[in-house]
Amino acid sequence: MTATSHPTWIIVPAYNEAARIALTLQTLLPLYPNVVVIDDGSRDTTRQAAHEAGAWVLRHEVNSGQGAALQTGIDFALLQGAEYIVTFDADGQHDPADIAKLLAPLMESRADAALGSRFLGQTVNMPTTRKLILKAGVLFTRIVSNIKVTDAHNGLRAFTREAASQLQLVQDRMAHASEILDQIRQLQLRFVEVPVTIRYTADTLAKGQSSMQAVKIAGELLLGRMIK
Amino acid sequence: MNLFQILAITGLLFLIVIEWLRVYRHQIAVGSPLFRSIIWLAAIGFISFPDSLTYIAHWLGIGVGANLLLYLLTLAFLAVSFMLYARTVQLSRQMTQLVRHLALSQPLPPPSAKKVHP
Repeated sequence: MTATSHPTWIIVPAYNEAARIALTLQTLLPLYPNVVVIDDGSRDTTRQAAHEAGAWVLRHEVNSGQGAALQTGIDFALLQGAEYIVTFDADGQHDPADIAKLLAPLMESRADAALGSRFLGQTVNMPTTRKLILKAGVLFTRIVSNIKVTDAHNGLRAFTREAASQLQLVQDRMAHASEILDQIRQLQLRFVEVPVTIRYTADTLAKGQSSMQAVKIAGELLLGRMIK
Repeated sequence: MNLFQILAITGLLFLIVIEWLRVYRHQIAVGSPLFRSIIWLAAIGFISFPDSLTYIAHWLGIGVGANLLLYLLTLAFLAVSFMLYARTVQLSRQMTQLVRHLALSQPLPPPSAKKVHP
């Protein structure tokens, strides 16, 4: 099977990830040859590093947010004929071995979307504050989006082509995670949660979401719903 | 009528004339000028008859006309803030569409790729 005929495309949104993107791609590319990095207006050498590591690279000339980057990646993967689309964080928090577990229910036609859950799987070095924020996010999602998941903000997800082609993300920034769940419910897509592993490091925690950002994201989501 | 009333009412009438001249010249649709003209006319009414504000405030159980004005200004501030926020979000979404279009039109293939898509 040649690279472009491989049915699975991995989408990796990246912003200022020059230091980590090469390592992430080195673990991904041997397993999945079709990886597209969306460089979301990075001010460092993310684009160069991703290209040299062997991935396709799309460049947002202006930083537009992870939601916008994911939508760009989904559109690109669909243009390339992807049958399955996986979203994967650039910072190395995810384990490429989990992708097969996400794809299994899609390939067996048991689901249209597979959502990674660190709370069904395991976490390495997750601080308590982060756990509390994420649990609050799960509760918020259950109330606002009316969808029952154990991990609402996990960047590791997989979609069938049909499901991905129906997603239309307009929440450009971090509220996209809740928006994806909203759309899964509205489109009545079949979804499963799959246990995955998330590894936190000092670097990833420094770039992650703070409590105040979590409040801002909730505000963005609620206000964004009121704006057409 | 005092000097302030004369200046303020003249200014507001000038704004109303400008609004409707632009409509007359087909520069803008009727909706927004009509809404703004109602606001300017209400302002002219309250400036011409200052006691009318106090009368309405009493009727609403607020007490003082100045308080009613303060509440109305607070509500107007919140409404304008939301409208400006909404406009900013809309502009941001439009810019994102442009950014995404540009990104999709110039994919950088991996060094090993033989064929450039799309």
